[in-house]
Amino acid sequence: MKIIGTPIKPLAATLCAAAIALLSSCSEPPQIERGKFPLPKGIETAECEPGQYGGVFVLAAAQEPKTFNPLMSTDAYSSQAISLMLSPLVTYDPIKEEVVPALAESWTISDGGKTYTFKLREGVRFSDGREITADDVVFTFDAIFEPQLDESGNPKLDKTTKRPLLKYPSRYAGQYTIGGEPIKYKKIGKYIVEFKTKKVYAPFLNDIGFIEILPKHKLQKAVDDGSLQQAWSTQTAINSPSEIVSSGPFMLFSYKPGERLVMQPNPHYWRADKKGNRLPYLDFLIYKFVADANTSTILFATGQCDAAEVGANDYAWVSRYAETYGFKIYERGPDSSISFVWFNQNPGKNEKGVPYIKPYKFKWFSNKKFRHAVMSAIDRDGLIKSVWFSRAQKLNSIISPANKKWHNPKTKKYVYSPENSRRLFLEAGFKYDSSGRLSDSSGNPVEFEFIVADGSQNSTVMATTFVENMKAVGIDVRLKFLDFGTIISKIDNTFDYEAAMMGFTGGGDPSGGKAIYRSDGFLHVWNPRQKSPATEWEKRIDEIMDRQEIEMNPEARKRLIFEMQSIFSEELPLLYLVTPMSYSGISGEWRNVRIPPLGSIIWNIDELYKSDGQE
Amino acid sequence: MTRFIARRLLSLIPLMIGISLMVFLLMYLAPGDFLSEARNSKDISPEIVKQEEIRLGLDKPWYVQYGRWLNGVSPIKTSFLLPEGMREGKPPVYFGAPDFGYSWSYKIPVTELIGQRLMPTLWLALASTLLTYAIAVPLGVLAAVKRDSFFDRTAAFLSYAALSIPYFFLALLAVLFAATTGLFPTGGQVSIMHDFMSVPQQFADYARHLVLPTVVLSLGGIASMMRVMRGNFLDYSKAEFVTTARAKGLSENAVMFKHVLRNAINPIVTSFGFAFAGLLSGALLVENVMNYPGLGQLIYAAIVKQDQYVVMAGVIMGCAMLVVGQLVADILLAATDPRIRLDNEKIPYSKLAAFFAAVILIVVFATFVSEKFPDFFEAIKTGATWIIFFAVAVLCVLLVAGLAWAGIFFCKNLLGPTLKNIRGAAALAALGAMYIAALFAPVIAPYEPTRQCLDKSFHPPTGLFFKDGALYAKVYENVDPSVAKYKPVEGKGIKVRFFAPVEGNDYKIFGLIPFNVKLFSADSDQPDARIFLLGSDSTGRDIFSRLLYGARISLSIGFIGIAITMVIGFIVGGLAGYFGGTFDFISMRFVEFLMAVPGLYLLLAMRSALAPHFDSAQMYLMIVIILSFFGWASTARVIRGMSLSLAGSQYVQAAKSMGESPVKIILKHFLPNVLSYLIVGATLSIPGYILGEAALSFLGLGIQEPSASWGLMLAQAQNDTKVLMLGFWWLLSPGVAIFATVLAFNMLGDILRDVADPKKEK
Repeated sequence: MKIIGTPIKPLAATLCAAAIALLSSCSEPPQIERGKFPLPKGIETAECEPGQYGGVFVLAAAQEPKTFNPLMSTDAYSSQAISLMLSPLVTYDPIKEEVVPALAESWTISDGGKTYTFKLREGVRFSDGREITADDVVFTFDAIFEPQLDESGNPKLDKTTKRPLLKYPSRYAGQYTIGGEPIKYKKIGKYIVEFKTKKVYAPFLNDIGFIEILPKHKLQKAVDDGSLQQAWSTQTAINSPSEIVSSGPFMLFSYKPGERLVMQPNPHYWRADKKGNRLPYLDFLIYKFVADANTSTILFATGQCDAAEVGANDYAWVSRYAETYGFKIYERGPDSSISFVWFNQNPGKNEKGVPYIKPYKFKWFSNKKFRHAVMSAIDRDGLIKSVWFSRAQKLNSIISPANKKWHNPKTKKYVYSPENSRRLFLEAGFKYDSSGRLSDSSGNPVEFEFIVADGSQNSTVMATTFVENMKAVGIDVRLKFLDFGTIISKIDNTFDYEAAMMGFTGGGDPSGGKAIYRSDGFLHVWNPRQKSPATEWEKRIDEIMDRQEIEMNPEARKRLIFEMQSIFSEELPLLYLVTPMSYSGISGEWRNVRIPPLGSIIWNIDELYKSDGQE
Repeated sequence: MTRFIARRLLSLIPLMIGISLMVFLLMYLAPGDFLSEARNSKDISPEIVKQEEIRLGLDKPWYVQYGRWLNGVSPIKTSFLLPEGMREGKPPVYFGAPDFGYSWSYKIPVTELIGQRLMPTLWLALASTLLTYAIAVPLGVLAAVKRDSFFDRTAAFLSYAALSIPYFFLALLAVLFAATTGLFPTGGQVSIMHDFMSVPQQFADYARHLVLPTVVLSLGGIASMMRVMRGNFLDYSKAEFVTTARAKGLSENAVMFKHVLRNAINPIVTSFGFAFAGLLSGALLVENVMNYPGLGQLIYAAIVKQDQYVVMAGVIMGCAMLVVGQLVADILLAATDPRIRLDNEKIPYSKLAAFFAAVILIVVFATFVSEKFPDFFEAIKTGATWIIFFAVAVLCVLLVAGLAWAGIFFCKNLLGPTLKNIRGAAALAALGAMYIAALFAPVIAPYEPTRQCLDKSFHPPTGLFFKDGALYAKVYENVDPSVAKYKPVEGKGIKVRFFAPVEGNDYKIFGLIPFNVKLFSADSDQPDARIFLLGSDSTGRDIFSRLLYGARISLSIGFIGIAITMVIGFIVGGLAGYFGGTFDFISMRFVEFLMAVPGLYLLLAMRSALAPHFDSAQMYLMIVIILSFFGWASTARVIRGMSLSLAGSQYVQAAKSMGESPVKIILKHFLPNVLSYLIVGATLSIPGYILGEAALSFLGLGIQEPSASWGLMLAQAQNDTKVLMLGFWWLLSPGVAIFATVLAFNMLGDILRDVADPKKEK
């Protein structure tokens, strides 16, 4: 090895020499015993090409899971780890782009779309060997809707809504309250569960089917004694990983915070290949925790982990290492998130009676022409060229083009043209003075403060470019970087800001964006939580969002979503920026890799196998 | 001895209460809280957020929150402070294990979390301390023995250089080295397959991951300790007992190693504890850049995420280590040096009691007011802003006077000898050139620092050539926009004009005289013709211009910073030395408090608390103030010692008895005596400010875009991986600029010390 030759300091050199001597016998992971348990009756046979067992799959993650309890999980990292360990009733196949069976073998829809009946796979077990039955499904929903009791044992009611207060509030409770009432569920047989909703709810399967089913035999006690929120915490994972039982492809092997999370195959997983070998093929799945996304990209590029999302920013250099380290990078099309600039259009006053926005500025910000003019002055083409080396697209709609199913390609487009922008300002009654500064009809110079969250290099570049672009059309913008918390409190609580920049993650069903689109939504950032729609077009959006929820005809629903996007692009409450291309890389050793149009490249990690066995 | 140790450990208690209260208030004043992110998440309902608020106790006023925390930490607890529902069955006062609370983001007890992260940091600190001693001591001795040889000079220069490289820049280079060569891991404490290794392999794995962070962290320590070792060795080799030994006919080796070395190494060995503790602060930056999962990384992340109890426990941890390290140093010193006694210090119990009573009174009063008037803290915030501005205004007057006086003194007494020294002259010339360049940045910089050219991002430095007696700049073409690869176009060039007025480039020199002449500019009609002397950045801004404008910040921040610390340090130290008594006692306790605070951690907390109330222009001022706030303590201590001895001198006694006012005595008799110390100390501490600003800006907590500062410009190279990976090396030029400036200041300070040292003159 080369290390000895480098002039390292004596102590380090001694340590190194010792290290090399010891490492010369390379370490190998322990063998995983396979085929210990017979396949159950309800096993699913995967359509993939049969592979061979073995191999360690390494992933780098910039953040750690915060809990392994699906009811408590509120972030993507926890959810991702949980989804590898616990299976839902049904799941989404990103290649077929449809809902496919998971723990439920099949389902039927009756009663005009208000009753769903699921049939579970027979004989499928949790990783500790206990069978998964309808009782576990019922238990999962019971846990969600478990009421808070007062001293005399009656459910406590919320003072305003008069609905029972939940013992364990989670994001699911709201999701499963349809038409103002919690969904009804009951056990029909050992393997059959029935769900009923008060009214027709189009995205039912996506919502209800995707919750992970909890093991009753493990968590019943925690539900009863009130400790469900603390159950299956990171602490459990550290001290007794086997306590967290699995129904998915993997189960926990070990977790060391700040270091790594190791998973091993669940010997009772419900999928097998055509040869009757139980999936998954790989022996160990390791998440290595790193400080930031940059580090994980470096790890992937230098062959130290097996798969990674590669940002449009990094593609240029990562691809140079593809041959050396034997990996492939796939272009995945535009990113599903959206980024935008907006002006505060909140007409309200604070408790001292001072308007959030000075009235003359409110006049500008609420003027559609003003927003159009600003939009025309943003040099998005230049940004794409300079920052992303042309690996990005201009964003024209509130739904990213990545979401092919719902994105409307025919919304109004805005072209960079400072001349056009100046003309629009003049048309809207603004004036230019001799030095080229813009002012409104009453002589107020056009200037505003622009708040941006600090941290990301890309948002910094977009923000500074925006400032320069505005300078070019005679507007003075004061850029202010604040931490995320402050920004949230400003746009959500105190409303004392003028313009801001932010992004939302996207993808999935448009119902998920309700809080942004609807005028009473709390993410309707330019003027959130309106009592009644402030403008005609916001009223129309609200109608559309109500309508699409009960529209069962997919084509008609699509037309509604398209109309919504057209309105947003015309009214322009959000000034869209760019959406970078996304890339995913995976080591060339792995077989059965199938790239879906959207979502994770290792969505079928249970089917992946290493081409020529172990190294 | 036992009494001394017990007293020192007991003094930790008020220190920790003070520091934890300070950190708690800072976290409280910082806008937003741990739940801010959850509030804006698409799939978390407001009800959950509200319940979490209650669970975390965020709905209670700050003093209740702090009281609960303190009650948890204290081994003697009272049930009155427990949340309702937990009080039953508990006696009013009881004993319990210290509980540092719960990490909100990791959802495990803080003690556990710290426990996991403490060992890596301790290993790192231990390894670098050992490495430092192992290298610095022999090298220092060698340099002293071979005094003024080629080796000595090279070692001296290298140690200046090592002291002048910012930690984070070095760490950045180390990561790059690891990533490109693959010899060392790019981060972490263990490798991915660690779980599957045998015990000796695991040990080797730990060691391999320690190498790079250890080297990065030790370099500065090695350099400074080597200098100290060399100095000590030289001092003792002139001592009388050495002459005696030589006269006795002892061999030179025996003299050197038996007599000189043993004495010279003493203070260095005893400073072990101190060096060890000092490394903890440095570890914060190194751990973050190099992704080493230690305490520093944990605390930085916790500050960013507002994971309050983790921050508090971490800061207390760092502070305890600092105090214990100092304690170890003191004990070692007493053990090896019989001249030092530890027990002869008397404690003024009554003063101590009065001091704490006053502090408690203030806290209680603040609590009362904040309960009666909920706007109290808002008022404090605005009040603090005004007070700061007022203080700055008063200070400004003092500063200008102080700087002028120091300048005159410098020119009169120190300039001549310094210029006679080649290195001194070189350092002065380099600094002079830099200051002039920064002052005339609008003339010298060809473009505005914010001026973009989106067509030419990551443009390499423009090549120049001569043709027909005129200077031409090469024209480049972007041959591969997918990786920003530029090639010069053969035979094409733009003529470079000198001292020509440039249309649309009006600016005002010193903010007064309108001007539009540029030192050099491209003679072309095209608006996009550019001369990038040092290349361009991600939006096509000229690095050379940004470097010049950034120099204004980096170069002035040190001056303003030291001016503030020196003035405050002199006033407080001088008064304490002159008056003694209660003022001395209180001010010195405060100074000790400031010196015991783990600076960088608190700096971060302070910055995030204050930042939202300032514009990016004011941020500059704020950084100076924060940095000086911690800087003046050590100056004050030294000045106090000096004035204490001066106060006893006959001419001061005479002046006193003649009825001179204290102000006059301090200005007329103390100041001239300590001025050369102040100037030397100032010169040597300027680099601290430059590096401090760079580190803050590098972490994204200092100067903000679109303004330019050297640290901020370097951050781009770290945050945007492609910069290093695609070889846009010119973006590292701010690192070189920091290095050169700091090096010049260090060299100048060293020479000034020699010049001002009266012992040297003989």
